[in-house]
Amino acid sequence: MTERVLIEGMMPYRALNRLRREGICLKNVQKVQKNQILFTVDSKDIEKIFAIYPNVCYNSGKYTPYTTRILPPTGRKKAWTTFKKRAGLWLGGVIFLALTLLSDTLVLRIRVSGATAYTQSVIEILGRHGLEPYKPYTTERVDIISAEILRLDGVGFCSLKKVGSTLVVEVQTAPFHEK
Amino acid sequence: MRLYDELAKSDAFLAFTGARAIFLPLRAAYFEGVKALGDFSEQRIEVCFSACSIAVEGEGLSIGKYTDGDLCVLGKVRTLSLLEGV
Repeated sequence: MTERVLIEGMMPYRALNRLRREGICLKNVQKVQKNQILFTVDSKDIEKIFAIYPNVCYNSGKYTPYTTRILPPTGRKKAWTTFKKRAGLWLGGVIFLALTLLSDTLVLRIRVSGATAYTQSVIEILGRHGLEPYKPYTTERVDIISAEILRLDGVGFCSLKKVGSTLVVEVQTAPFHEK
Repeated sequence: MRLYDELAKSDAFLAFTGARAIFLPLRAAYFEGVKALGDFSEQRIEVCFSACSIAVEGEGLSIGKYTDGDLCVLGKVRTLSLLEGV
């Protein structure tokens, strides 16, 4: 990991020579202004730099010919820092997405519409074929289930449809059915 | 340094008292045995060795690496001139 450091003071190249003498490897050195130099160093050298040239904002009692500042990261490093700062948010997002995708494949509720008198029988039939709340929904056995519901006495029409996480079973009685 | 040995075969290799330099016109300049760095800007960088000082001139110059006697100057390096010394 590297850090971008801005050094400020009169004749800033002298500060570079001092840092180099202390064994600090300076990379991408650029003169930003007449009294400012920007460079990159390894993160491990940061403490050493602040020991040589402290930031007077934090050590107002100590005189130093040069002041150093660590600049906020940019580019890929900034993206990584932001990502790390909001790790909880990203994790929450991923969990939410996973739960949404999972809940989409599950049946959370069964609703029987139309002839509600058949609700109990319909739920029993669905249960026999593994269609129960909090279980995954498959269309494999829909035809068999529909046929079984239609076999119920007086049922003339039946349809199974998944709306969100609700399984809607529409049951209609036959028009000329005698009860 | 193997890099220097390789480049020493080329015309861009310079050696002087206590220091060596490789000059790649319009690309870069590498120095070994650097004692200190003088004032620098995008057009000119002064490099001090134990026995002499050199000025690197060009356009868009920047220091790629400066560590323990090694200096790498990047940019359109046009000239190297001796400022003082042997």
